[in-house]
Amino acid sequence: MELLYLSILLSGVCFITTLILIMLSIRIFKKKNLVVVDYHKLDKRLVPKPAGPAIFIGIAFPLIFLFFYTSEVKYFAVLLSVFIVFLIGVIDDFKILSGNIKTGLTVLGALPILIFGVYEPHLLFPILGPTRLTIVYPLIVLLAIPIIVNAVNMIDVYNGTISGTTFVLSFSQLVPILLYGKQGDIIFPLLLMSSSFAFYLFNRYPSRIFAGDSGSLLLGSLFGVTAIVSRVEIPSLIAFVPAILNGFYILASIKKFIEHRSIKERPVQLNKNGLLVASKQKEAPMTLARLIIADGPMSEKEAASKIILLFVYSVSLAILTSFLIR
Amino acid sequence: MKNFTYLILLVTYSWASLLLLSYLILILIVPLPPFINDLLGHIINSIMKVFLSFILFATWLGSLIIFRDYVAKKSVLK
Repeated sequence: MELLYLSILLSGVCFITTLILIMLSIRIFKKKNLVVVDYHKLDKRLVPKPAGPAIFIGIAFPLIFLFFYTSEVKYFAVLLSVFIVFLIGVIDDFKILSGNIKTGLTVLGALPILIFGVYEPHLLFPILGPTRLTIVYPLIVLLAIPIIVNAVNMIDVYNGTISGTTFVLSFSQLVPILLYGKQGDIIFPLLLMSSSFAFYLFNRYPSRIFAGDSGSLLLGSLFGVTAIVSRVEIPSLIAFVPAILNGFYILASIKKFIEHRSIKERPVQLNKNGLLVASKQKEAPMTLARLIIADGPMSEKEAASKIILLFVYSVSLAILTSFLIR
Repeated sequence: MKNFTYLILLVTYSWASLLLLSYLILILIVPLPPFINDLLGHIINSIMKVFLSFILFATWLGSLIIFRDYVAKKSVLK
Protein backbone atom coordinates (compact mmCIF):
# COMPACT_ATOMS: atom_id res chain seq x y z
CA MET A 1 0.00 0.00 0.00
CA GLU A 2 2.94 2.29 0.83
CA LEU A 3 4.25 1.97 -2.74
CA LEU A 4 0.82 2.84 -4.14
CA TYR A 5 0.67 6.14 -2.24
CA LEU A 6 4.29 6.89 -3.07
CA SER A 7 3.57 6.28 -6.78
CA ILE A 8 0.58 8.63 -6.71
CA LEU A 9 2.73 11.28 -5.00
CA LEU A 10 5.55 10.82 -7.54
CA SER A 11 3.14 11.07 -10.47
CA GLY A 12 1.99 14.40 -8.98
CA VAL A 13 5.62 15.51 -8.88
CA CYS A 14 5.98 14.38 -12.51
CA PHE A 15 2.91 16.43 -13.50
CA ILE A 16 4.17 19.63 -11.84
CA THR A 17 7.76 19.19 -13.10
CA THR A 18 6.62 18.56 -16.68
CA LEU A 19 4.20 21.49 -16.54
CA ILE A 20 6.86 23.95 -15.31
CA LEU A 21 9.51 22.66 -17.70
CA ILE A 22 7.17 22.88 -20.70
CA MET A 23 6.34 26.51 -19.79
CA LEU A 24 10.09 27.23 -19.59
CA SER A 25 10.73 25.34 -22.85
CA ILE A 26 8.16 27.46 -24.70
CA ARG A 27 9.90 30.68 -23.56
CA ILE A 28 13.43 29.41 -24.30
CA PHE A 29 12.58 27.85 -27.68
CA LYS A 30 10.85 31.05 -28.82
CA LYS A 31 13.94 33.09 -27.88
CA LYS A 32 16.31 30.59 -29.55
CA ASN A 33 14.04 30.39 -32.61
CA LEU A 34 13.50 26.65 -32.17
CA VAL A 35 10.12 26.83 -33.89
CA VAL A 36 8.34 25.07 -36.75
CA VAL A 37 5.40 26.00 -38.97
CA ASP A 38 1.96 24.71 -37.97
CA TYR A 39 0.78 23.65 -41.44
CA HIS A 40 -2.83 23.12 -40.39
CA LYS A 41 -3.36 26.84 -39.72
CA LEU A 42 -4.11 29.49 -42.34
CA ASP A 43 -1.71 32.00 -40.75
CA LYS A 44 1.11 29.38 -40.78
CA ARG A 45 2.07 30.34 -37.23
CA LEU A 46 5.34 29.24 -35.67
CA VAL A 47 5.17 26.79 -32.78
CA PRO A 48 8.07 25.90 -30.42
CA LYS A 49 9.39 22.32 -30.48
CA PRO A 50 10.39 19.85 -28.96
CA ALA A 51 8.62 19.17 -25.67
CA GLY A 52 10.53 15.88 -25.36
CA PRO A 53 13.28 17.07 -22.95
CA ALA A 54 10.71 18.55 -20.52
CA ILE A 55 8.65 15.34 -20.57
CA PHE A 56 11.75 13.18 -20.12
CA ILE A 57 12.97 15.06 -17.04
CA GLY A 58 9.45 14.86 -15.58
CA ILE A 59 9.43 11.07 -16.03
CA ALA A 60 13.07 10.43 -15.08
CA PHE A 61 13.07 11.84 -11.54
CA PRO A 62 10.32 9.53 -10.12
CA LEU A 63 11.93 6.47 -11.76
CA ILE A 64 15.39 7.31 -10.35
CA PHE A 65 13.85 7.89 -6.92
CA LEU A 66 12.00 4.55 -7.00
CA PHE A 67 15.12 2.70 -8.18
CA PHE A 68 17.12 3.90 -5.18
CA TYR A 69 14.18 3.56 -2.78
CA THR A 70 13.25 -0.05 -3.71
CA SER A 71 16.54 -1.25 -5.33
CA GLU A 72 14.40 -2.90 -8.00
CA VAL A 73 16.15 -3.02 -11.36
CA LYS A 74 12.91 -2.71 -13.39
CA TYR A 75 12.73 1.04 -12.70
CA PHE A 76 16.26 1.49 -14.00
CA ALA A 77 15.60 -0.73 -17.04
CA VAL A 78 12.47 1.24 -17.97
CA LEU A 79 14.31 4.54 -17.51
CA LEU A 80 17.23 3.37 -19.65
CA SER A 81 14.89 2.09 -22.36
CA VAL A 82 12.98 5.37 -22.46
CA PHE A 83 16.25 7.34 -22.39
CA ILE A 84 17.70 5.49 -25.40
CA VAL A 85 14.57 6.09 -27.49
CA PHE A 86 14.41 9.70 -26.26
CA LEU A 87 18.02 10.26 -27.42
CA ILE A 88 17.17 8.90 -30.88
CA GLY A 89 14.26 11.36 -30.94
CA VAL A 90 16.51 14.27 -29.92
CA ILE A 91 18.92 13.43 -32.75
CA ASP A 92 15.97 13.28 -35.16
CA ASP A 93 14.66 16.63 -33.92
CA PHE A 94 17.89 18.40 -34.80
CA LYS A 95 19.27 16.24 -37.62
CA ILE A 96 16.49 14.52 -39.55
CA LEU A 97 17.07 10.75 -39.75
CA SER A 98 15.72 8.64 -42.61
CA GLY A 99 12.68 6.47 -41.85
CA ASN A 100 14.67 3.21 -42.07
CA ILE A 101 17.48 4.42 -39.78
CA LYS A 102 15.06 5.83 -37.18
CA THR A 103 12.99 2.62 -37.14
CA GLY A 104 16.14 0.50 -36.94
CA LEU A 105 17.66 2.55 -34.11
CA THR A 106 14.54 2.29 -31.95
CA VAL A 107 15.22 -1.46 -31.61
CA LEU A 108 17.96 -0.38 -29.17
CA GLY A 109 15.20 0.73 -26.80
CA ALA A 110 14.25 -2.93 -26.28
CA LEU A 111 17.75 -3.97 -25.18
CA PRO A 112 17.62 -2.83 -21.51
CA ILE A 113 14.43 -4.89 -21.04
CA LEU A 114 16.17 -7.99 -22.41
CA ILE A 115 19.58 -7.40 -20.78
CA PHE A 116 18.13 -6.82 -17.30
CA GLY A 117 15.59 -9.61 -17.84
CA VAL A 118 12.66 -7.55 -16.57
CA TYR A 119 10.10 -9.54 -18.55
CA GLU A 120 8.16 -12.77 -18.13
CA PRO A 121 7.96 -14.88 -21.30
CA HIS A 122 4.40 -15.89 -20.45
CA LEU A 123 1.75 -13.85 -22.27
CA LEU A 124 -1.43 -13.59 -20.23
CA PHE A 125 -4.35 -14.35 -22.54
CA PRO A 126 -8.03 -13.79 -21.80
CA ILE A 127 -9.70 -17.05 -20.70
CA LEU A 128 -6.61 -19.16 -21.67
CA GLY A 129 -4.36 -17.67 -18.98
CA PRO A 130 -0.54 -17.71 -19.23
CA THR A 131 1.12 -19.14 -22.33
CA ARG A 132 4.77 -20.27 -22.51
CA LEU A 133 6.76 -18.36 -25.17
CA THR A 134 10.32 -18.76 -23.83
CA ILE A 135 12.12 -18.52 -27.19
CA VAL A 136 9.70 -16.32 -29.13
CA TYR A 137 9.05 -13.71 -26.41
CA PRO A 138 12.45 -11.88 -26.58
CA LEU A 139 11.97 -11.64 -30.36
CA ILE A 140 8.51 -10.16 -29.77
CA VAL A 141 10.10 -7.57 -27.41
CA LEU A 142 12.68 -6.63 -30.06
CA LEU A 143 9.92 -6.14 -32.64
CA ALA A 144 7.31 -4.58 -30.34
CA ILE A 145 9.29 -1.56 -29.11
CA PRO A 146 10.13 -0.11 -32.57
CA ILE A 147 6.60 -0.85 -33.82
CA ILE A 148 4.93 0.86 -30.85
CA VAL A 149 7.34 3.80 -30.75
CA ASN A 150 6.98 4.54 -34.47
CA ALA A 151 3.21 3.99 -34.48
CA VAL A 152 2.86 6.58 -31.68
CA ASN A 153 5.05 8.94 -33.70
CA MET A 154 2.69 8.53 -36.68
CA ILE A 155 -0.32 9.53 -34.53
CA ASP A 156 1.17 13.01 -34.04
CA VAL A 157 -0.88 14.54 -36.86
CA TYR A 158 -3.06 17.24 -35.31
CA ASN A 159 -2.80 19.58 -32.34
CA GLY A 160 -3.27 17.53 -29.18
CA THR A 161 -3.53 14.07 -30.75
CA ILE A 162 -0.24 12.70 -29.40
CA SER A 163 -0.74 13.97 -25.84
CA GLY A 164 -4.46 13.16 -25.83
CA THR A 165 -4.03 9.61 -27.10
CA THR A 166 -1.14 8.71 -24.76
CA PHE A 167 -3.17 10.09 -21.84
CA VAL A 168 -6.12 7.88 -22.83
CA LEU A 169 -3.83 4.89 -23.53
CA SER A 170 -2.43 5.04 -20.00
CA PHE A 171 -5.83 3.87 -18.66
CA SER A 172 -5.51 0.63 -20.64
CA GLN A 173 -2.49 -0.21 -18.45
CA LEU A 174 -3.54 1.45 -15.21
CA VAL A 175 -6.81 -0.51 -14.86
CA PRO A 176 -5.34 -4.02 -15.45
CA ILE A 177 -2.33 -3.26 -13.20
CA LEU A 178 -4.72 -2.21 -10.42
CA LEU A 179 -6.91 -5.22 -11.17
CA TYR A 180 -4.00 -7.67 -10.88
CA GLY A 181 -2.72 -5.91 -7.73
CA LYS A 182 0.73 -5.04 -9.09
CA GLN A 183 1.35 -1.99 -6.91
CA GLY A 184 5.04 -1.81 -7.78
CA ASP A 185 4.16 -1.24 -11.44
CA ILE A 186 1.45 1.36 -10.95
CA ILE A 187 4.02 4.13 -11.34
CA PHE A 188 4.52 3.42 -15.07
CA PRO A 189 0.99 4.18 -16.33
CA LEU A 190 0.71 6.98 -13.73
CA LEU A 191 3.82 8.63 -15.18
CA LEU A 192 2.48 8.27 -18.72
CA MET A 193 -0.84 9.72 -17.57
CA SER A 194 0.56 12.70 -15.61
CA SER A 195 3.23 13.66 -18.16
CA SER A 196 0.79 13.32 -21.08
CA PHE A 197 -1.82 15.43 -19.27
CA ALA A 198 0.69 18.16 -18.39
CA PHE A 199 1.81 18.15 -22.02
CA TYR A 200 -1.78 18.09 -23.30
CA LEU A 201 -2.51 21.40 -21.57
CA PHE A 202 -0.01 23.07 -23.95
CA ASN A 203 -0.30 20.72 -26.93
CA ARG A 204 -4.11 20.82 -27.34
CA TYR A 205 -5.67 23.00 -30.02
CA PRO A 206 -4.23 25.59 -30.66
CA SER A 207 -0.85 24.07 -29.79
CA ARG A 208 1.65 26.20 -27.92
CA ILE A 209 4.34 23.51 -28.22
CA PHE A 210 4.86 20.39 -30.33
CA ALA A 211 6.18 17.06 -29.05
CA GLY A 212 8.89 16.68 -31.67
CA ASP A 213 10.24 13.21 -32.31
CA SER A 214 11.91 13.20 -28.88
CA GLY A 215 8.51 13.68 -27.21
CA SER A 216 6.47 11.27 -29.32
CA LEU A 217 9.11 8.53 -29.31
CA LEU A 218 9.64 8.69 -25.55
CA LEU A 219 5.89 8.59 -24.79
CA GLY A 220 5.59 5.61 -27.14
CA SER A 221 8.53 3.82 -25.51
CA LEU A 222 7.10 4.35 -22.00
CA PHE A 223 3.82 2.81 -23.17
CA GLY A 224 5.64 -0.09 -24.87
CA VAL A 225 8.01 -1.01 -22.04
CA THR A 226 5.19 -0.75 -19.47
CA ALA A 227 3.19 -3.29 -21.48
CA ILE A 228 6.12 -5.73 -21.30
CA VAL A 229 7.48 -5.10 -17.78
CA SER A 230 4.01 -5.00 -16.16
CA ARG A 231 2.68 -7.98 -18.17
CA VAL A 232 -0.26 -6.07 -19.60
CA GLU A 233 0.64 -6.86 -23.20
CA ILE A 234 -2.80 -7.94 -24.41
CA PRO A 235 -4.83 -4.99 -22.98
CA SER A 236 -2.13 -2.61 -24.29
CA LEU A 237 -2.21 -4.24 -27.73
CA ILE A 238 -6.00 -3.91 -27.95
CA ALA A 239 -5.96 -0.29 -26.79
CA PHE A 240 -3.26 0.37 -29.37
CA VAL A 241 -5.31 -0.98 -32.32
CA PRO A 242 -6.11 2.47 -33.89
CA ALA A 243 -2.39 3.34 -33.87
CA ILE A 244 -1.51 -0.05 -35.40
CA LEU A 245 -4.15 0.48 -38.09
CA ASN A 246 -2.85 3.97 -38.82
CA GLY A 247 0.78 2.82 -39.05
CA PHE A 248 -0.09 -0.23 -41.11
CA TYR A 249 -2.22 1.78 -43.54
CA ILE A 250 0.58 4.30 -44.05
CA LEU A 251 3.07 1.47 -44.66
CA ALA A 252 0.65 -0.32 -46.99
CA SER A 253 0.15 2.93 -48.96
CA ILE A 254 3.82 3.98 -49.20
CA LYS A 255 5.30 0.45 -49.08
CA LYS A 256 8.41 1.52 -47.16
CA PHE A 257 9.52 3.22 -43.94
CA ILE A 258 9.65 6.90 -44.75
CA GLU A 259 10.17 10.08 -42.79
CA HIS A 260 6.76 11.83 -42.66
CA ARG A 261 8.27 15.11 -43.91
CA SER A 262 9.18 13.41 -47.21
CA ILE A 263 5.65 12.22 -48.07
CA LYS A 264 4.98 13.95 -51.40
CA GLU A 265 1.18 13.78 -51.56
CA ARG A 266 -0.33 15.01 -48.28
CA PRO A 267 -3.32 12.93 -47.09
CA VAL A 268 -5.04 15.99 -45.61
CA GLN A 269 -5.18 19.53 -46.97
CA LEU A 270 -6.30 22.89 -45.66
CA ASN A 271 -9.08 24.73 -47.52
CA LYS A 272 -9.48 28.50 -47.79
CA ASN A 273 -11.78 28.57 -44.74
CA GLY A 274 -9.10 27.01 -42.58
CA LEU A 275 -10.88 23.64 -42.46
CA LEU A 276 -9.24 20.28 -43.10
CA VAL A 277 -10.27 18.29 -46.17
CA ALA A 278 -9.26 14.76 -47.20
CA SER A 279 -7.09 14.59 -50.30
CA LYS A 280 -8.82 13.09 -53.36
CA GLN A 281 -5.46 11.99 -54.79
CA LYS A 282 -5.07 8.21 -55.08
CA GLU A 283 -1.31 8.54 -54.41
CA ALA A 284 -1.82 10.16 -51.00
CA PRO A 285 -1.44 7.70 -48.09
CA MET A 286 -4.74 6.37 -46.76
CA THR A 287 -4.17 7.29 -43.11
CA LEU A 288 -6.56 7.22 -40.18
CA ALA A 289 -6.48 11.04 -40.20
CA ARG A 290 -7.59 11.08 -43.84
CA LEU A 291 -10.42 8.59 -43.23
CA ILE A 292 -11.68 10.65 -40.30
CA ILE A 293 -11.61 13.90 -42.29
CA ALA A 294 -13.55 12.19 -45.11
CA ASP A 295 -16.76 12.90 -43.18
CA GLY A 296 -16.49 16.41 -44.60
CA PRO A 297 -14.39 19.51 -44.07
CA MET A 298 -13.83 19.89 -40.34
CA SER A 299 -11.78 21.95 -37.95
CA GLU A 300 -8.49 20.59 -36.65
CA LYS A 301 -9.95 20.58 -33.14
CA GLU A 302 -12.85 18.35 -34.23
CA ALA A 303 -10.53 15.99 -36.15
CA ALA A 304 -8.21 15.65 -33.14
CA SER A 305 -11.20 14.96 -30.84
CA LYS A 306 -12.40 12.19 -33.18
CA ILE A 307 -8.98 10.49 -33.14
CA ILE A 308 -8.87 10.66 -29.33
CA LEU A 309 -12.46 9.34 -29.19
CA LEU A 310 -11.43 6.35 -31.30
CA PHE A 311 -8.74 5.60 -28.70
CA VAL A 312 -11.26 6.01 -25.87
CA TYR A 313 -13.28 3.26 -27.57
CA SER A 314 -10.27 0.94 -28.05
CA VAL A 315 -9.18 1.52 -24.43
CA SER A 316 -12.72 0.54 -23.31
CA LEU A 317 -12.34 -2.72 -25.25
CA ALA A 318 -8.92 -3.23 -23.65
CA ILE A 319 -10.33 -2.74 -20.15
CA LEU A 320 -13.17 -5.14 -20.96
CA THR A 321 -10.62 -7.72 -22.14
CA SER A 322 -8.46 -7.25 -19.05
CA PHE A 323 -11.39 -8.46 -16.89
CA LEU A 324 -11.24 -11.77 -18.79
CA ILE A 325 -7.57 -12.28 -17.92
CA ARG A 326 -6.82 -14.17 -14.73
CA MET B 1 -23.25 5.78 -42.61
CA LYS B 2 -20.62 8.21 -41.32
CA ASN B 3 -16.96 7.32 -41.77
CA PHE B 4 -16.38 7.56 -38.03
CA THR B 5 -18.97 4.80 -37.47
CA TYR B 6 -17.07 2.65 -39.99
CA LEU B 7 -13.86 3.31 -38.05
CA ILE B 8 -15.53 2.23 -34.80
CA LEU B 9 -16.63 -0.95 -36.60
CA LEU B 10 -13.10 -1.40 -37.93
CA VAL B 11 -11.62 -1.15 -34.42
CA THR B 12 -14.24 -3.63 -33.12
CA TYR B 13 -13.45 -6.01 -35.98
CA SER B 14 -9.70 -5.69 -35.35
CA TRP B 15 -10.20 -6.42 -31.63
CA ALA B 16 -12.35 -9.51 -32.17
CA SER B 17 -10.31 -10.89 -35.07
CA LEU B 18 -6.98 -10.26 -33.32
CA LEU B 19 -8.12 -12.29 -30.31
CA LEU B 20 -9.48 -15.00 -32.60
CA LEU B 21 -6.21 -15.07 -34.55
CA SER B 22 -4.22 -15.42 -31.32
CA TYR B 23 -6.44 -18.28 -30.15
CA LEU B 24 -6.12 -20.03 -33.52
CA ILE B 25 -2.34 -19.83 -33.33
CA LEU B 26 -2.12 -20.84 -29.66
CA ILE B 27 -4.73 -23.61 -29.68
CA LEU B 28 -4.39 -25.07 -33.18
CA ILE B 29 -0.89 -24.32 -34.47
CA VAL B 30 1.45 -24.22 -31.44
CA PRO B 31 0.54 -27.72 -30.10
CA LEU B 32 0.91 -29.40 -33.54
CA PRO B 33 3.11 -32.51 -33.01
CA PRO B 34 6.01 -33.28 -35.41
CA PHE B 35 5.27 -35.91 -38.05
CA ILE B 36 8.59 -37.67 -37.42
CA ASN B 37 10.08 -37.67 -33.91
CA ASP B 38 13.70 -36.85 -34.79
CA LEU B 39 15.71 -33.61 -35.06
CA LEU B 40 14.77 -33.02 -38.71
CA GLY B 41 11.11 -33.65 -37.88
CA HIS B 42 11.23 -31.07 -35.09
CA ILE B 43 12.93 -28.51 -37.34
CA ILE B 44 10.35 -29.04 -40.12
CA ASN B 45 7.59 -28.82 -37.51
CA SER B 46 8.88 -25.45 -36.20
CA ILE B 47 9.22 -24.04 -39.73
CA MET B 48 5.70 -25.22 -40.56
CA LYS B 49 4.28 -23.58 -37.41
CA VAL B 50 5.96 -20.26 -38.25
CA PHE B 51 4.73 -20.54 -41.86
CA LEU B 52 1.13 -21.32 -40.86
CA SER B 53 1.12 -18.49 -38.28
CA PHE B 54 2.50 -16.13 -40.93
CA ILE B 55 -0.25 -17.11 -43.39
CA LEU B 56 -2.92 -16.47 -40.74
CA PHE B 57 -1.35 -13.13 -39.79
CA ALA B 58 -1.05 -12.07 -43.45
CA THR B 59 -4.70 -13.02 -44.00
CA TRP B 60 -5.66 -10.84 -41.03
CA LEU B 61 -3.65 -7.90 -42.40
CA GLY B 62 -5.24 -8.46 -45.81
CA SER B 63 -8.70 -8.29 -44.27
CA LEU B 64 -7.79 -4.93 -42.67
CA ILE B 65 -6.76 -3.58 -46.08
CA ILE B 66 -10.04 -4.80 -47.64
CA PHE B 67 -12.00 -3.08 -44.84
CA ARG B 68 -10.04 0.17 -45.32
CA ASP B 69 -10.47 0.12 -49.10
CA TYR B 70 -14.22 -0.42 -48.69
CA VAL B 71 -14.48 2.60 -46.37
CA ALA B 72 -12.24 4.69 -48.65
CA LYS B 73 -14.27 3.87 -51.78
CA LYS B 74 -17.46 4.93 -49.99
CA SER B 75 -16.00 8.25 -48.89
CA VAL B 76 -12.54 9.62 -49.74
CA LEU B 77 -12.26 8.21 -53.28
CA LYS B 78 -15.95 8.60 -54.21
